Order: sequence, then C-alpha cells, then structure tokens
Amino acid sequence: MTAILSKLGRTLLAASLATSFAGGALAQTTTAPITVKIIGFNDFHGNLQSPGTFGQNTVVPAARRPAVGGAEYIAAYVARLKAQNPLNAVVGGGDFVGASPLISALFFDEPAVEAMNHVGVDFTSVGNHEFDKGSAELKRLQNGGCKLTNGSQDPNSCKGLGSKVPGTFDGAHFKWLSANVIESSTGRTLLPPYGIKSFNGVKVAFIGMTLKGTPGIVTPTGVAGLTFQDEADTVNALVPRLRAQGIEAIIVLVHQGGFQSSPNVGDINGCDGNLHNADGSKSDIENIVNRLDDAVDLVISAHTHAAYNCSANTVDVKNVGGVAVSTARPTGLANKAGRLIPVTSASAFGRIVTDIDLQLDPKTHDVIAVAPTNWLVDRTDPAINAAIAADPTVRNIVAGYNSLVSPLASAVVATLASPLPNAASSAGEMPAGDLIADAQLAATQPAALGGAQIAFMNAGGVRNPGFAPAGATYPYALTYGDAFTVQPFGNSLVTMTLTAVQLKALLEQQFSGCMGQTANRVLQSSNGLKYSWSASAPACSKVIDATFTSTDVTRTPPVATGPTETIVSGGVVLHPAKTYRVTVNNFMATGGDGFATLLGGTNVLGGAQDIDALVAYLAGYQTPNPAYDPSQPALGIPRVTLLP
Amino acid sequence: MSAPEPLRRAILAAAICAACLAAQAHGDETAAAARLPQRVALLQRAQAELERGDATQALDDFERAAMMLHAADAELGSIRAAMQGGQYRRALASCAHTAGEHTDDADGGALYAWLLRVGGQGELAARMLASARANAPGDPVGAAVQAAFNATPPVASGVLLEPLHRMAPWPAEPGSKARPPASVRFVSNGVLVDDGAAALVPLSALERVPHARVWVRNGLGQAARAEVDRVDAALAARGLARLKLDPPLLIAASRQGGRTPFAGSPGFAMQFGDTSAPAWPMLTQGFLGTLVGDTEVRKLGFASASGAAVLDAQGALIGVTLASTTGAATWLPLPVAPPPAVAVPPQLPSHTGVALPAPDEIYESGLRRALQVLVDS
Repeated sequence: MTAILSKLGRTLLAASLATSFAGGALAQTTTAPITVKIIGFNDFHGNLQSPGTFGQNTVVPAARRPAVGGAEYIAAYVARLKAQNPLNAVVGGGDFVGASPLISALFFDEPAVEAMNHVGVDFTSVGNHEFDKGSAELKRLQNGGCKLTNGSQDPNSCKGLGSKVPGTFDGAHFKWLSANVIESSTGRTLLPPYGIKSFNGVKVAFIGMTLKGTPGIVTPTGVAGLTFQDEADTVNALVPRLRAQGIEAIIVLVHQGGFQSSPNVGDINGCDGNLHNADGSKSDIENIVNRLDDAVDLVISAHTHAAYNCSANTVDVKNVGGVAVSTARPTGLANKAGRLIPVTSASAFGRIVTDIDLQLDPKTHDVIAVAPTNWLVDRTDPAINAAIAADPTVRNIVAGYNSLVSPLASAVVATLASPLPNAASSAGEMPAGDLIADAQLAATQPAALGGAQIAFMNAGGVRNPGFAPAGATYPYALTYGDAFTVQPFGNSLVTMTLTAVQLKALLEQQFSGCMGQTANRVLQSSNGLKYSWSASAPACSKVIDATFTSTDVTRTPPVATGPTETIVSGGVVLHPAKTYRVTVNNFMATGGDGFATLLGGTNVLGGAQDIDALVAYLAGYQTPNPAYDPSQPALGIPRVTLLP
Repeated sequence: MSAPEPLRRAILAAAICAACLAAQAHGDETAAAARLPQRVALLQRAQAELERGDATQALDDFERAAMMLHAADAELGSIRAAMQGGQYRRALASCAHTAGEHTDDADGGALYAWLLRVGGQGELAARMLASARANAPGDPVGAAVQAAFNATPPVASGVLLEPLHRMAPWPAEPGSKARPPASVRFVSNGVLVDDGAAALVPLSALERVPHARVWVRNGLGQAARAEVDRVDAALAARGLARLKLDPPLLIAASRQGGRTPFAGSPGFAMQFGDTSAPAWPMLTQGFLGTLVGDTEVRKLGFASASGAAVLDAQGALIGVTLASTTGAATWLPLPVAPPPAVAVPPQLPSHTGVALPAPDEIYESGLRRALQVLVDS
C-alpha cells in the first residue's frame, strides 16, 4: 500500500482513514477493486464448548450478555461470512491449542485441530502455547499421526472423531506460520514463515509470528533448540522477499497484543487509548507496529485476550446513563512511516470473530481499503442455530469428544471371554447381535416391564466394531465407552404382541423382495428362538422352520423355563393365532429398515433405553462372575441356520 | 475471616498485590500491574462483591480487570465468581486456561484440580495437582489441596478458605437471619425439592439432635432456616424427613429427565464432605441398579452418602440416597418435579446430540439441589 498512500498524505489520513482509503482506490484504479474477506480469530485455546457469556461492551448488563463461542458456532459464523464472499481467507493469531479445557487437552489438543480443520482455517501464527509441549509435538499437530507415550500409541490419541478416518489423526489442514521462530540446528524457521493466497490473480501474503518473549513464558523444554527473533525485524526482512514475488498486500498475524485503556467500556470494536498502556507508555503491540515496514497493510494481533478494533471502523463508546453511545473514530496504529495501520484482536476462546473486508487494486496488487468488524459468536442467533442444525458435523465432533471425557466411558461393564464382532455369519447372525438381543429381552422380560419372550435387534443398529475393540486382548474388560460405541443411538425398547403369523411374516420380511424389503436385513434374535432359512427359496417363503424355547435371560447364565414349541414347520405356521410378546427398538417398531409388519403389533409398551438394557444385562458378567462366553451352551448360539 | 474489617481489607489489598507480584510468568506483568491503580481498585471491589455473595457483579468487575491486564489474579477471581453463581462449566473452562497459562504458582493448577475432583474427574484432578505441584514445589496451596484430597469428598480448611485461595463458595447472605451461626455443625446431606421450598433429609440425622435449630445450605453458599414440615409416614418409612425452608432457595431452570431411569442407566450423586463451612459438593457417578425386592427402593450401583441428590444423565433430580442398612447404597426415586415457579436462567445451553452424559453439566445442575444439613445444638 506504500505507493498509494504516500501520495495521499497524513493530513487526509488523520481526517478520515476510511475516506482516504476510498479516495485512493478511486484515484489509482481503472478497474473495480477486488474485495476479499479475511476472517480472523485468536487464542481459541481448545474451547470446543462455550466459554460462557460475553457482551458487546461492559455497558450491556451481565444478565443480557449472550452465551458465545463453541466450535460449531465458530464454524457456522465463519461459513456465513465465507458465503458472503467466495474470495476469502480464514486466519488465526495463535494459541489455538494449549491451556485448553479437558475436552481438548485430554486428547492432546487433537480435537481443537480437527475442529479448526472443519472451520476451514487457512493460516494461523504460532502463539506461545503452541510450544507448551515442545516443537516436536507442534509438528505432530501440524502433520498428523498419533501421540506416542513410552513408544506406544497413547490411548487418548487418534480418536479421530474429526479426522478422515476414525482412529487416526489428520493433523492440521491449515498452516501454522512461525516467521520468527528459528531452529538452532538448521537456521531455518520451524514452520513456514508466511502463507500466500491468490484472489483473482492478486496475491496476499500472511506472515505469522509469536511474541519474541515466548521463551520467558513457556517451559524451557518447550522451546529447546529454538530462537525467537524480533517481530518487526522479522517482518521487515521478509517484505523484499514477498515483493520479489509480486506481492504488495501483506498481512501480519502476530501473537502479541495490547489492551484498550481509559476511557474503557471494552467495546469489541473500540480502540480506547489507542492501545497505549494505562500509564500512557507504549504497549507491546504498538512497539511492534511502530517499527513495521510501510508495506504491511493489516495486523491481526492476539495474546492479551482483549478485543479491539483499531481501524477505519473504530467506535468510541461511552456509557451515558446506562446506554452505550457510539461515535465513529477512524484510527489505527502508526507504522514506521507514520501511517496508521489497522490492528485488530478478537478476545479469546472463540467468543469473537473479526470480519475484515479488504479491497485490492487489481493493477498495483496493493491494498486500498481495510474495513474490520468484530462480531460476537452469539449462540442465540436463530439463523446460526438453523445452520448448525442443517450441518451438525462440528457439533457432533464436539459431542463425541465430550462423551469421551466422561469418566463413565472407562467404567468396566463386563468381561468378555472372546471378541463379539458385528460381522455376520453366512446365516446373518452376529455375535454382538446375539448379546444385544438378549440384553433387550432381559430388560423387558419381567411382566411389569413388558413380559417379552423374544427380542429382535436390527443388524444395522449393531455398530462397528461390535464388542471387539481394536487391539483388545481376552479376557477383555469391556467399558461403557466400548458399549456406547456399539449402541450409540439412544433408541428405546418397545414390546408388543405379535401372532405366530405376524412373527413368521416378520422373519420373511428380513429378506429382499418380501413385502417391500429391498435388501437382506437379517434380524439378531434372542436366546430361545431358533429358525432356519433357505437361500434358494423364493421371497416370502424362505423361513423353513422356527422353534421357541421359553428362556429366563434375566438369570446368569440363562435358563430354559419351558418346553420347545414349534412355530413354523416346513414353512407352515402351526398355530397361527398363538401370540408372542416381542421386543424391538423404537426404530424398528415404527417400520424402520422396512419391517412394516411391526406396525401391526398390539398391546405396545415402551421400555428402557437400549444402552441401559445392555449395561444392566452385562452386569451379570462382571468380575467376579465368569466372563461372557458366546460358546457356553446356555446362550443357545447359533440361533439362525442357513439352508441351501 | 474474623479480623476487623479495616484490617481485613488491608490484608486483602496486600494479598492482591502479592498475587500480582507473584505473577512473574508474563515478563513485565508485575510492572504493568503496579502501574494500574484502577485495576487494583477494581480487583478489590470485585473481591468484596464476591465475598458478600454478589456473584454477578463480582464476575463483571473481575472480567473488566482482565480486560486491562492478562494476569492470574483477575482470572482466578472470575473463576470463583462463576462458581459463586453456579456456573461450573464456565469456571472449569476458564480454570483450564489459567492453570495452563500461569504455571509459576500453584493457585491456578490447584483450583483446577479441585474443580475437577469435585466434578467427578478424580483421576485427572490428581494428575493436574501433581503437575501444578511440580511447577511450584513447596507452594502451600498445592500442599493443602493434596492433603485435602486424602478425604472423600475433600474438605477445604485452613489456607483453602482464605480469600485468594478459597476452594469453596462464600456465604451468599451474610448478615441475614438465614445465615447459620458459626456454631453449627454438619450432620447430613439433603436434597432441595418442591421448587426450593423444602428439603428431604435423612431422618436419623435429625433424630440425633431432636431440639436443634436446623439450616440447609446449597453449593452456592446460599442458606435457609429449616423446620420439620410434617411427618410423612411414607417418607419416614424410608428414613427421610421433609424440611420447610425459610426463605426458599432458588432452583436452576429445570432440566427435565429425558426418560425414566432404568437399571443400567447412568446415575450421579452429589454430596458434601463433613464440614460446617460453605462448600462445593462432590459428584460421584456410576450406573443405577435394580429394584430392592418388591419395594420402590433401588440399588445405586456406586458409593454415596445418605441424603445425597441423585441425578440422571440429563442432570434432572430423580431421587435421594438412603441410609444403608446392608452396606449396599440405595436410593429412593422421587416424582419428577415440575418446572420451578422461580427459575434461574441457565448460563449455558445444554449440549445436544447423542452422547455420554457430561459430568460437568450434571455437576452444574446439582449445585443448587445438593444441600448441607447443619444444626445448632
């Protein structure tokens, strides 16, 4: 911007920075300026969940400040801003990780990185907290891969809820920039010094740095082998290099900042005291900006957790009788040439995003106007909530990690003698499905809870990997988290009465082509029911034989309590009017997976949640009781036989 | 706490300055703090507001101080103010940052460990405390927390009840007749019911002190006088008594139970340690068990003292724990309470989506439900 503004003069700048920018644009360009949207925030510190309420300024009564932040809300606000202009960049001022809440810290801040990937961050400077765990760990967060503890993958790493493949960690899709962090061993920057994005042929450079004082506020091991250079000197040395690439638009992302000082109501778009320290001395960020080359067009600052907007859009806000009264006061911080440079900061913890419209001259490739606005990441915005409902990806990631933080996730609910995968036999029976069906029968078998005799579980609801976690050794202490992975839907149990004819119809409806069924969907059936089906028989005539033995599955091990009766023989229902109490989940009960037969059930009774039923059933297989062993005869496995 | 007011203020001011001086991690933070008399005054005002239970104003002033300088003192104050207002999740998230940011003294890490411990994250609390103590060996606050962690629930005493190191709420209504006298002693846990107008407490705790005056106090330090309301035969048969409260205590905006608890449902209990001082209760958790015989009493599935509030996975009050006669913890389901007539708006929305229950949400819900039962006899 140097060439443009040097012609305008400081008098005009002092009168109105915004006007001068616009005037410069009109005077210097023959084609329309290119408008680029820069979206910035800083000091996220892994706050995937809302850090609380926050006000536009302190005039807003505490009770009226909205809840702000949360990764899904940041993502939605960023998406909204990006939708306003396809020419955009999302950038950060550092401290995206470190000093973070349990939901991120427990998993080595991988959740924060994954969330930022989904937000769509392009570049961020490093901050001091990026070095909390050392440069090798920072590189792992950048490049991906699992955290090793004592040579083995740490169990809290690579959960991968926001990575491409569960059980992996992608690393950051964005680039951490560290222009002033030098590896002593190589003399090179630890991470790239800058990033470049091109907008309609005009390149914009983003230089990223942490404060040079980082070694003084980070544990020595975290910065071992690194040197931290002066911020302004680093930028100024890079300017010729960038210009040699035809770059005139230069934005600095620096993890250093200041505070608004008196008079101060802390308006998020204020710049009270022009970021001087309260005693009138220069703040750290001022000292940096004052020495910056005139080529720098915008500084996105951080570190102090303060919100400010020192720019063409600055407002002075006063508390007049409890009402916030705003007055425009275009400003900025003076650079080496005395020109006022826009400087912004977006508080911390995802409370605020800075929305910056940048106008580029397509001929000179320089910046001709900068218009920043700080916005609260307001969780009460109806349109934002609708957007999250429409795309809950980030919300689900947050919810997933929140689950994993629960101590209950590691509570042991049973011992398994062998793996119970959700892989089906040729007949369609799953070891995991047998267990679930038995648990659902047990939960509804007492007369007061439904009086069920048979339970069916839809195969699609038995989620990967079944009760066979990767790397498990047996006997295996199954945790609630393991169980929840298999039964995550929160379905409730429904017990109903079916006639023998309906029961046969239900079994036939498992197979493609029968009563609208579009695929083979073999149900997982409970202990006591056995049947055979023929693969070659025509649709709706596949079930050859079916028997039922009343079995008390509330006891461990289960016990047969009645004689075996034949329901179907040679494809014929022997006692069509005989009824059975059958339990399924509410998904199936409403015709899910094509089981419309269940809509005809009578005497319907709602019951427990599926995961609760599972935990209650597995209590019988907790130490000191014997482990759950699918080969024990009392379990009556296999229950389904495939005939030619 | 018993020093004359001018002396106490002087001690507090000195302590605040000492806290500022202790914040060496940020290079020139000490000098900057010294140049900010407005900030020091703001911190003093905020601390005074906090100590008289005005959590909202205290939080506002601590946050304004934080807008002047990034330092541990204002952050710790705002964390305690958030806790005073029942905003456990906000406090916990803020404290995670403070513990990681200001590692030069143990206060941030110790408070974070305490909050984790009472919120049901005992293992992580122990790790956090160990880390904080390693960063600041010899710090008396860290040592005191370590000693307190030997008890379950931990009880704050000594240095841990001093204003700047406090691991407990302040009495929220000093000077009012609702405030229990210093001579009270803790006899039991209790549960706030009936829109905050009544409490259920173990009958045996009151039978031991038949003529005593009774108070109850919640996890926000808010107290009320209590009198036995009526003899409820059904409750008495279960070993419980109903107390009428004066004044009623506010209940947070209700969380309705998502479903009827079943054997195997996650369950939570909130209980206080043996202290007559205001305290933050501790969360225990596990799975709810089956019915006990043909009664409505159910097995708890995890340890808890009698009289503790039992909460479901949505944080809704579902019952009260009973005195054990067999060694196995049991609880009595309570009717689902309708929304309270006077509700405190929730500070944060509940997390949505299918997920395991988050103990921080549960804890926040239970802070107003769990009661200390105090007697003066």
